[in-house]
Amino acid sequence: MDRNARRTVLTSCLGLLMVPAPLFAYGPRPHPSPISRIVALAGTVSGKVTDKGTGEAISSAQVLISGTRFGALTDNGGNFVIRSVPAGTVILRTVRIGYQAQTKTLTVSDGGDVRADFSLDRATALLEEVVTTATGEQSRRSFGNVVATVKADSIAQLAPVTSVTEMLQGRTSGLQVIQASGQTGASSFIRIRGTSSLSLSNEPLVIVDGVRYDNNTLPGNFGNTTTQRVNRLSELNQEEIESIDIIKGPSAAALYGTAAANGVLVVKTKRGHAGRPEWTAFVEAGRVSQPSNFEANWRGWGHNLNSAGVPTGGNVQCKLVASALHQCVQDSVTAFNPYLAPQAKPYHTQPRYFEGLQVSGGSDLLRYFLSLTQENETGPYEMPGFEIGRLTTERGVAPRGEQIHPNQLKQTSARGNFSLNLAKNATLDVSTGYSDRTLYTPFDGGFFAGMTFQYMTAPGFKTATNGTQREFVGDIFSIEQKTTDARFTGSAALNWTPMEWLQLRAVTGIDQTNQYNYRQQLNAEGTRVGVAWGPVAQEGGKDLSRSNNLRYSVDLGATATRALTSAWSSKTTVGGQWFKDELYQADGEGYGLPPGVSSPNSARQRLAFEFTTENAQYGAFVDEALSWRDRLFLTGGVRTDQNSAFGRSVGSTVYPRASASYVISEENWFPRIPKLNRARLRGAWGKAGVQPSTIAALQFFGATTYPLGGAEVPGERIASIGNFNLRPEVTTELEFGTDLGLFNDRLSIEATFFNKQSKDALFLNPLPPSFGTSIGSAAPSQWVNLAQVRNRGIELAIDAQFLPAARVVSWDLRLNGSHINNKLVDAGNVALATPPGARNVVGYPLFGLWDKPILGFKDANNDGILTENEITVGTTDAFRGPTLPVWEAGLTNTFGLFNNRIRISALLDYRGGFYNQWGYQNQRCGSSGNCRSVNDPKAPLADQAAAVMANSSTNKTVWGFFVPNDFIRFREMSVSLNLPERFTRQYLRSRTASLTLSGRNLGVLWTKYPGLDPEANSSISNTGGGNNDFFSPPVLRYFIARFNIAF
Amino acid sequence: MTRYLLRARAVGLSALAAAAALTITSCSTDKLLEVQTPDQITVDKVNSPAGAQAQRVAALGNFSTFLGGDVSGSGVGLNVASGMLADEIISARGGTEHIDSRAQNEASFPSTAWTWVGQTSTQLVRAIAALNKFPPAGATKATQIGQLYALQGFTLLITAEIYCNGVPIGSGDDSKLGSTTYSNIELFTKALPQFDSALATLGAADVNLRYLARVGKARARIGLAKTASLQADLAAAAALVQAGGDGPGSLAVPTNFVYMVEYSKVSIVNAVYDWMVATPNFGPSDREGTNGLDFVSSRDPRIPISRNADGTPKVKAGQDATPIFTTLIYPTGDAPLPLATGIEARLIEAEAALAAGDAATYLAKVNEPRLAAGYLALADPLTSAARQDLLFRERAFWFYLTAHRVGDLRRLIRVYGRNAETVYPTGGYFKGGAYGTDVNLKPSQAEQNNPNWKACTDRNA
Repeated sequence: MDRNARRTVLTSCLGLLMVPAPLFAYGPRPHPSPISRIVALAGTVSGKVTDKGTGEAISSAQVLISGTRFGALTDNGGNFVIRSVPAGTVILRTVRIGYQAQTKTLTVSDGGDVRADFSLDRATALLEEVVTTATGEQSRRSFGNVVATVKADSIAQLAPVTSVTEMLQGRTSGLQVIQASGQTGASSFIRIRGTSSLSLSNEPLVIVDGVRYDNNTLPGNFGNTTTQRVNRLSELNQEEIESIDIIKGPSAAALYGTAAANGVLVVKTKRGHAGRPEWTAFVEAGRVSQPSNFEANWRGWGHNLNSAGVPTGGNVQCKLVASALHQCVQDSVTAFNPYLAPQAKPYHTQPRYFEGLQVSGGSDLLRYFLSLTQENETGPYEMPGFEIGRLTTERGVAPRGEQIHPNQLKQTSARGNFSLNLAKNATLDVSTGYSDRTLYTPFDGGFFAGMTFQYMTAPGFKTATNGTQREFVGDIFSIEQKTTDARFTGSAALNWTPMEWLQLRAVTGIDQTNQYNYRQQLNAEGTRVGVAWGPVAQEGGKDLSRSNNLRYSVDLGATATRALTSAWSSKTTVGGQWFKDELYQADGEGYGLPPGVSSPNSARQRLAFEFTTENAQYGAFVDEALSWRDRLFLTGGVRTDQNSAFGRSVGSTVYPRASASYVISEENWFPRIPKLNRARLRGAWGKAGVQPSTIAALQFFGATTYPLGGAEVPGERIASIGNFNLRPEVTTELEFGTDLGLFNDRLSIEATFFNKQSKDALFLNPLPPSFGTSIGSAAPSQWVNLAQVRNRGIELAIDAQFLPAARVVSWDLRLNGSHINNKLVDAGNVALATPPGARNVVGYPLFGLWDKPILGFKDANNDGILTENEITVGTTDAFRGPTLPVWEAGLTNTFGLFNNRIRISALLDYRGGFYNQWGYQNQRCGSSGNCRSVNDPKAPLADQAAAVMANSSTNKTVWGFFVPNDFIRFREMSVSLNLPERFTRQYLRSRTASLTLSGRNLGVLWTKYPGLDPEANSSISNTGGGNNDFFSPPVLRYFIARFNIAF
Repeated sequence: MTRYLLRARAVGLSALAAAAALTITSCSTDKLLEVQTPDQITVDKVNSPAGAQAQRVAALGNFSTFLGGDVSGSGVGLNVASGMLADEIISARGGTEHIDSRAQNEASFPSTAWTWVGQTSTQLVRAIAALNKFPPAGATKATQIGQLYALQGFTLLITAEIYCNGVPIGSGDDSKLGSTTYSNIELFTKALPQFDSALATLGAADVNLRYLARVGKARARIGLAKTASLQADLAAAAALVQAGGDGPGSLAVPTNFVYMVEYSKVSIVNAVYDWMVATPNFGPSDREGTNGLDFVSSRDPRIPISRNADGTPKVKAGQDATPIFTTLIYPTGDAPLPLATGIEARLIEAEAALAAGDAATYLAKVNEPRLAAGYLALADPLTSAARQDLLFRERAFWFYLTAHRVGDLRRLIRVYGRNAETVYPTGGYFKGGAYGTDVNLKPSQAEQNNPNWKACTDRNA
């Protein structure tokens, strides 16, 4: 026996001793055949696998002897050794997700060593791309679900975006970004495959570098919390992101378990590559504007009529209805638009700046990516010069900067990502991100003294406050609302391959935010009439909140791979996770501040509050993936979770999943279809959950103070009845679809059908008020598992390269779209609320619009004015339509000129099949009485009908304000110029440089919506739904110039 | 050559050590789910004498909100809600026209008024049970429990006066949630033993609380009065507030007696101040809907109105631009609200005298509080109907925005045979359309979640 043979025997024996069969291993496997037979014909194959583009070693690449079970994984240096390879001619195949597979034919001699090095190209074919899931990275072809990947870096280069959500907008089928209101710093909302939950968050789970990333609305935010919300995702710096994988539904997200029912956004930040430092820098300068001119306010004027029908008295307001009833005779109509009046105009175009410096590089021992960016944006609000002068005269000093520009965003972000080769078989990836943000927002929201109300409900003439209802804009802007956040997100991921067949990973991380925010008006500042938000008139006051928000993540996992036969291979993954969320919050308020004081310490009235919220969860999963000839993939897995929020009587929750992916076009028998080069069939089924809050299951009392004997005395009463049987909301999803590649993948098509149903949907079940089990004015309620919500739909994504990129002119097109049918299947016989407008009705979409329908109208007396008796209204409530889009699509066209030296890109965004509550017009035509249709006899009769019935005291309906919301928005356009290499080297001493000019929210190309902006929606939030444009300014328009340079 | 920090074996040993440590520390899954909930007061934490006192304070505070306002300003008390339905105030707030125009939409604001019926009636039950379980020392027990019984009586009778027939009242037993439906008569009847329990529990020294219970019981008796037995029913009611009404030798409820419900500038702000003075949501009515009383133009000092130097009332734009006046009857957020008074005792006596045909006593009783307050005495209007009008007018001005008016208007219909359209605002509503036909309120839409209740039995007066 020679030395190699002895070594083989030894290895085999050790393998038998250490690892009971059957084990997952490449290489010599215990075999009943005589050892001498193996020894007699064996050789060794070794080599190194590197990235063709960068020359970097590729770790964890699978190197296989085709037709056998012999193989190896590369170590961190890219090296591999396969021993006991049968002598003769063998085909060596190297596979690594994210790279194109490569094969080499070798001749292995008995006892000889053969060297084979591989230099792999990065994958360009869609199926070979890498997606990141709960079990780690895997190739798209092996995943039974459709997973969308947004390559953030390339988007930022081509068309600068101002937030992460803008990256996602219009680029992924089935994912809807519901636009933020037109205010710098306001957040958009994300819905993936519809709205599933009646009462809990419908936002996806966000994971950044393996750590759960908080995307709740800011706690204790004293901004315009009910109408212009700020989500924490907006703190994530888009410039630091490499890619975002969008895992759309429970069938794909089952292994993420509780919290993943709304889908998962898996964010990977940029990492360094070995080599000399590569510096990139960018600078953006832009303009931010409010494109809408808003609507004028109207007022009809006339004289009252006495009983004889004779005009009497002075000039008074005379609305159309009063005129028609011969209560007055109208003689004139006036209109005034305070938004455009020089002395009250609140909007002016403002600047935006964004600059950053990034460097990456390192050695094979340590690779790094460092980033530092600074963002400064002033929202389009500005105190008019007249107001500055008035306040300067009144106060003796000019208003402060944040009062003149009450909407400002400043964010500094830093990131340091490090990859360390700990050992030949172990790596450590450390990711650290820090952001510091300051956001000022103008006083608005639902406050009567806030900006929207003061401007939109004012009478149609120049009032004493220059056209507003009763407050000067300078006084409104003098109420400061400020939020400051310091956020650290960090993770350490250890990957260890103790044996070739076994990979272990451990990820720990934290997401921590320290936040301070307040609303304040100093003494002798702010609005003047009554109680605007807390203090009386200008007595001064402050509400403040300080909070510490922590999210801990621990994720442990192990993956074992083995070749079962020459055709079948197996990948088994087990994992365990523990998460804990903590929010500690201290709030205070003080009203009646002495002059010059900006803290509540000396206030006339002071209150303090403290809140603690904690939630913990652990879970484990096992997942088995079988692969047949690298073209058929069958996966089954199950996860179990336990959460501190579940009721005491509830055990662990189980989330199973199964999927299949079949690259059928690689079968020999697959018929040759002209131009079709790739076809994959896929299907998946699975469950995932959403958890209730920590205290949802508890029965507890609440405490507050009550007046007693002239003092404030604490008292306690039951606040929540609890539910010990509370379970998580579980959503089950079935999806199947196909991926096609035509014309050598120049045309890619993804088509998917999904059916997602929330069962045991958590519902804050309203209890009858007579039960008296709540604290405060809210009716009592109880978390129960009641409702069933279904989302069924289709998704389509088409990528086309009409002209190959290599030519002088290239043209890429991406079209993605979806149709979603949402329905409340069951509400457990609960009498759901029936307010006019958005409500939930069994058998209809969540948050659909309902009221008595206006069936028709006719100006019977031909006086041009409709009255109630000329309008026909239905006797029972009817469904007008859903409030979330049924159809959505994004169309991106990118043209490259001169070998892509110049690139022109445009994105059109379509939403359709839904309705808006047109709340601001309802307010104006109803309570405020200052819209055109209640004052101007020339107003269209349909508008008059809507207004008349909204004002009816006996047969009121707001049906007339349920308006179609379909639109196509010209979302973005950019022109990017890559400067000639010779020029950049000679004059800029850099490798590359580019200049990009872009515009965002350029206009609405088509819409059925009659109001200011079809995307204005103040009623949507993380949890809720609905579509009401009141208090939501139209979206902002951006023009940005960006210069990128790399050296 | 590729470099590494550690040898592979070192990594393995470190990983194994870490795994062992992790296994040891996480062996208890309970620890993994351990969370703090310090803000949540679990039931066991209030199962104590101090907890009973805290529940009593909450019951008193809830009653303040039930009658006159809400801590957060997001709701109004029954005095404002019923004042809108009646002729006491008009709405200058968009969205409240339904109740102001007598066409209540139970799904719309101020539906929270009904919430406070449930909150208050159940909390009074809980607090009484807690005090009986952990009784305070000495006479305090009798005083505290007696006061709560009296307030429970008022909660039931005011609910009966303002709400429709057939409303659910919660049990207050949180281990077994449920409610029982009562007609107005049943609620008035259910209130009587509450007052009896109060009187039985209170000590002799708690004379003011005894007056409270006596006035309350008399008010409940008035609610039960029928046309056919009016004289006897009213006489029985009046007897409760007269000398001997609380046992032999007891004094009559004095005219200057008043039981005030407390409010504050911090927690429970008087809603009339908060919604009518600090913010222009509602304004005092003046001859609303033909039948409404002249609360403003009468210049009656009992309803102070913000006026210009020439005496004309100041007009301001309401929240929806409706021109409104401002009443200064509760000029600050902590202005207390009278629940029961000696004036009411006198007017109950006057009503009983009127029913008995004793015009002299009737007039004397009507004028007694006026003279005590320094106002001019009124003359006898001579006819029976006019005397009724005068009596109810006096009640309207004395009890302005104290949740009496709807009960009085309903009695005018139910007992005195008036037509609803002759006592409630009627005709064209000043914001357009016409007044509806509501004479009472119905529970909010959320009550339809009650498996034992779906709608009022009837909406009759």
